[in-house]
Amino acid sequence: MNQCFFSQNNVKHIDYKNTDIIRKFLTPSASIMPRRRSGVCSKHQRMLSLAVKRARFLGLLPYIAR
Amino acid sequence: MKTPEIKEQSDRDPNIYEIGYLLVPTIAEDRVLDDVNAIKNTVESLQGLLISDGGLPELITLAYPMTKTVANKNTHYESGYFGWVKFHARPDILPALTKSLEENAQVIRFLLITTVKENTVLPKRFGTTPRKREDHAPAAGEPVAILTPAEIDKTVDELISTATV
Repeated sequence: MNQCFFSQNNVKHIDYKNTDIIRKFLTPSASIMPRRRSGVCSKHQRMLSLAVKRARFLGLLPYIAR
Repeated sequence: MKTPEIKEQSDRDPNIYEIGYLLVPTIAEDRVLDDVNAIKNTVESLQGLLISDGGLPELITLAYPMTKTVANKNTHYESGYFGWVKFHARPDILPALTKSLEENAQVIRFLLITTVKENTVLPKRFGTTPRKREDHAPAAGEPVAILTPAEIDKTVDELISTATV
């Protein structure tokens, strides 16, 4: 059974501007959640990782949260 | 023997780019559009073709404070106007565009990336399951209990008797 959120919703591109959705895949300390925990497939995990890093650079997401 | 040429199969047009930018928060709200138009004009002057933009940039609180150095003076920012513009251009204009944005004193930071022509911004409530109504109508195959007036009276009497005990 496919558990990937992005595959289930037929998302082809993960945009760094979708911070509300990306935020669901961050831990409380704002690091990227491992895919064994989030259930995201490897293809979307790579896209998600890139989107998070872009959003962090532009100050839309934090690098670290305390 | 000649080896066959392998071409990369991709749906991405390599000439579609996007600039995400943060403008300084000191700009008055009615003057933000001028700075946005300045960025768009820069793209167009370099023969870029605008595809879409994020509308008027909105003032956001930054996730962490940023520093910009202008004329050997550091300025710290905790908020900024975030906007983006998507355009079609030849790759050889990118160094000139980057230089122009770096020299723009109103831009705190910018990000130039390749993207796709289609809209990639998802709605805010994307992926959330709609809340089920509790007082839903019975499905077509579901049996519906039909009570006669006498049975209804009996049920009401039973309820009253249990409530009084």
